[in-house]
Amino acid sequence: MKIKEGFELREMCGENIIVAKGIQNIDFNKIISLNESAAYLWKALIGKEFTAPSMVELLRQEYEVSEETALADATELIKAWQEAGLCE
Amino acid sequence: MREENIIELPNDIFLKGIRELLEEGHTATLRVRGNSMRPFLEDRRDSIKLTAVTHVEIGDAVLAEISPGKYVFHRIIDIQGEHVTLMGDGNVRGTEHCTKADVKANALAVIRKGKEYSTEGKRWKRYSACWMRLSPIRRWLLAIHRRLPTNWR
Repeated sequence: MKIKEGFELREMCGENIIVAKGIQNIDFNKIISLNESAAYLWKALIGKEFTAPSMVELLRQEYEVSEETALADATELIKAWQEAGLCE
Repeated sequence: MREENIIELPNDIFLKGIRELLEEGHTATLRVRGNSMRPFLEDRRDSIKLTAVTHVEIGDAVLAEISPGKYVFHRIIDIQGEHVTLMGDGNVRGTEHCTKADVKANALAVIRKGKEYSTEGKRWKRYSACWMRLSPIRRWLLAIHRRLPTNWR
């Protein structure tokens, strides 16, 4: 799995938001924002192939979480990113 | 980790961020807060689509920084040299003053009840001309508007 090209994570007013490059209009009624840990994963994984276990590894390097919790979060995040069309 | 919800940010911080995006050449759609642009725009329901400032003329609905960090999205009702006077369509008294340089964004479109109206389009232009002409009786029109059921507004 890979984050699709053409998306940019940017910080705006303390929120991590995903902006599609080349998209003229940014609709703040439909914006995707990432929480701190999701933004950390995004930065670590952009441009790379990844799986849920590789996300788990990254999460456990940065946060004190059990493997089960990390796996549940990673699975949920991948699902959300897929639904939002951010990764393939 | 991903939630679908509404994030509300203080205007000064948010609009500074918006200005950066506009200066990069993006346009931005955001929801309006407050009722100062009634009767066309309703608090938290309707949106505006902004672009970096291109023109400053009487009748334009613009985003202006009226004092450091304080922004309004109101209509220009007068220009004297560099001096600009603004007033919200939904306000009966109370104007704001700034310079032309403080006008930071033009509205490309207004989105009312989910429908987009270009500010270059007939509908918005006709409404704008009418509403400005009706300013002497605005107080009563707005009073009637306030009493309408929410879905009629």
